[in-house]
Amino acid sequence: WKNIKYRQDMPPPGGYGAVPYKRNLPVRGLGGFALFGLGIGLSAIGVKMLWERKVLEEFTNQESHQAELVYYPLLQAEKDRTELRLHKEKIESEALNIVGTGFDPTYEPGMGNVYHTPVYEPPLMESLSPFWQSIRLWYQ
Amino acid sequence: MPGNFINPYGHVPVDTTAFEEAAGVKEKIDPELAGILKDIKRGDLGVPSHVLKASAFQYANECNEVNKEFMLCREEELDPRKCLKYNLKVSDCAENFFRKMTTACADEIVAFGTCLERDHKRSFVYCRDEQVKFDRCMFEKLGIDKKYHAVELDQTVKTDRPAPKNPFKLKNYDHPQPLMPDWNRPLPKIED
Repeated sequence: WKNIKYRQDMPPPGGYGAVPYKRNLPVRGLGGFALFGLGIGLSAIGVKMLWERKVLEEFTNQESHQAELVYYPLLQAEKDRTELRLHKEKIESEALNIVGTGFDPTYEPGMGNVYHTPVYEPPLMESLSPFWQSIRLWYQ
Repeated sequence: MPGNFINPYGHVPVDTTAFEEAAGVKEKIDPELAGILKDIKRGDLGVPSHVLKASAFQYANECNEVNKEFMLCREEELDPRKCLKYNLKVSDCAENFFRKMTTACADEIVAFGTCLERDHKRSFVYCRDEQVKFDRCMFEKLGIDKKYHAVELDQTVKTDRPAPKNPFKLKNYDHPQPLMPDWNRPLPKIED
């Protein structure tokens, strides 16, 4: 067969080179566990910041709330004295205006309540003006 | 203008001694009632709210026991006329404390209070410098320290009042135990 005089489309002498058939996926950037670690690390830093802020907020609110609760007995004591003064003036006014004027001499001051017993009734909200009714609801 | 946030009833004190000293009334007043009528004539302190909040932790150190006694009496008796003794103790303690405080540390408390008023929630966070100065002044001049837990969860109260037997006012509290059968008695055998 070496004596054939025509040209054929043959591969080059020595054969072709190697075909790069193996996969080529290079790692770009951090990659893999490092990327997860970065995300988890930044989240942990954020969680720590939020936790510290939460603890500080709880402490400041507790501090503020306790400072207001400390004075509840003093304000209640003053309120009790005021209520008793109003109760006394109510009974006195019943005595003066109903019995003293002769409208109903048999009326007993302080017995005009519903229960027919000497029960202590604190003053009603209706006896206050509307402005002070609204303020009292908000403040308490 | 009558009334403020401390006394929202706005009661303007009226002199009603004319009725008490009238002829037909004076004889019928017992000494107990006379004591009550004298006690309730006491007025309010009128301390503004920013000063109250600023001095709260030192006030708690001085007056917490007295306040607890008063609140206990109030909850058990449900009648403020029976707790006027403790009511006046509370006011006395508060008056003494505020008198001492305002004579010793006037500038510091005023600065602290006006700083607190700048915040709509009256929070202590924005006024730590003034708070430090006030606390230091109180501790050095009067020896009064702050109380960390100003309001406790488990509170024990020492009073001279005896413990009540039926605090919730239940009926049949002293009802005797019911007669139960003798469980160890000899029972007859049952044969089917």
